[in-house]
Amino acid sequence: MKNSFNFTEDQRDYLQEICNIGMGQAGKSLSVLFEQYVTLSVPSIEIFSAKNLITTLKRLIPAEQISAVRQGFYTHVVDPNICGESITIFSNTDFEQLAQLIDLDEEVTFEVEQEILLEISNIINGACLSGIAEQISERFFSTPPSMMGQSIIIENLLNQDHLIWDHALSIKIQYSVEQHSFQCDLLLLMPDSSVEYLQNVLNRLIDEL
Amino acid sequence: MTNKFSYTNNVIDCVDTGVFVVDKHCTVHLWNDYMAIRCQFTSDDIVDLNLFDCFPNLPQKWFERKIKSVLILKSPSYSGWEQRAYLFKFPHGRSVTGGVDFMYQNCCFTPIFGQDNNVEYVCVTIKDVTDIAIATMKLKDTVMELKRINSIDGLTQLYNRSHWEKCFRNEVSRVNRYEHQVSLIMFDMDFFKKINDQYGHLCGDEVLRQVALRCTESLRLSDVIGRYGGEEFCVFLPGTDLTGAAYIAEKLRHIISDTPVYYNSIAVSISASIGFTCSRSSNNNYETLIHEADTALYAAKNSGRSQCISFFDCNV
Repeated sequence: MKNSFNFTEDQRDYLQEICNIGMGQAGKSLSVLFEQYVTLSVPSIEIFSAKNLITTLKRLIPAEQISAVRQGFYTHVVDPNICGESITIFSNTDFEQLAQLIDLDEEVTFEVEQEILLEISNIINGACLSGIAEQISERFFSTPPSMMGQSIIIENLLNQDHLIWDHALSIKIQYSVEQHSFQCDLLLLMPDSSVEYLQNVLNRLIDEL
Repeated sequence: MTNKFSYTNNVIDCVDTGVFVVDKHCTVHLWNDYMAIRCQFTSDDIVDLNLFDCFPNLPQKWFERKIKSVLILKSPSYSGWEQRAYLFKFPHGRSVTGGVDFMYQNCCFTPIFGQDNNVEYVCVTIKDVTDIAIATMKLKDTVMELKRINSIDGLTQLYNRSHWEKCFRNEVSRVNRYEHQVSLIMFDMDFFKKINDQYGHLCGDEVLRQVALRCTESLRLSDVIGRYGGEEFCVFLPGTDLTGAAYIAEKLRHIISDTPVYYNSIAVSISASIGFTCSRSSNNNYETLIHEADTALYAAKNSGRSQCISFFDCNV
């Protein structure tokens, strides 16, 4: 295992560009779906070692309580070019607002709150991954989303000792929907082999420029 | 190649999963046998009909939203049993051993693309996850029960020592953070060994149960009582000063000693010695407060028992 990945400035820029385009597409789709104008902040990208996950998360997400949803993604199960898990982290969540967003008129119970989080995570994750997939000419498959925690403190999100991923790519995005706004962070956690593959793809794309 | 497999269409009826296909108007285009044998519609009945005309109990708005998201985002959407138990209320064979009479379902909504790369249909699959659901729910109940048992003293049904200590430590740190006050009362049953020796341990058990019950009934909701050890009890009183603590301590002493405990029609007289203290900026830590209440408790014992003594009246 390598201790750290040094992305060159070019690689970082290109990755940023890919994510920007991916997020732009995600925003467009979300606007149509929500029938409201959705704007996204320029995603800020960071690669960090998985063993610093909790410290990094605490820096990226200053909220006291969070809710999180996980989802697996892969290009091929047996011999994947890229595989990993995405974690969507919601902070300061106003469920009544989110319920309006997806046009839900049921009473917002604990289960409905979960359903809202899973639904929105799946939408964001799907839009983001398909945006990235298109840019690097891959096709991603996903597992169904599942809850990691609801209104918990960040330290309880996951057990760092059990992480098998060495590096993680974090894409921090802020969504604003007209006068409402909600914030969520999308983390793409990947093993070293996938990060390496991603770097090779980036190099190839940079050469083609 | 002459040996071309020509039964692909039959496979859809072989899978152990509900599969059906709708278009954007929710008109049904495919309905497999798994669906047909669990409701009153065969494929021939339902194809070309509107899904909601056939199943008026479906959550129409929710379903249409799912379909819309697949059509627009061109990626799958999911629904899990933990958030929504089922889409179709299908029967299930666990009514005897599982206590449920319907099938828990995980559903997946997948896009089917037409030639122009637009989503033409949505394929819905329904997986039976009843066994997983029952096992998971049992596990959740068990974990909750274990948590409860782990924090309760079996005899008195009060918090046990370790759980009470955890609560008190939290309270002390809250007091430090918000500059509140907390008082602590510790009491010990007088001559408890004599009761055990004279009337037997079952009688001693009944005394502890009665004392626990009397105290719980006379304390306020915010006060937290626990069994500290054998015949020793502890109560912390959030937001209560020394005067308040003295009042509660005296109240406890009375409700314990005013009425005897009846065991097999024998009246057993009981009393308790009580020590109490209160937090101030100089003693705000867990160990100091326990030590102070303990000191006061032993002073009460040494001054003839059945009385309440404040730490501030002890000669230390």
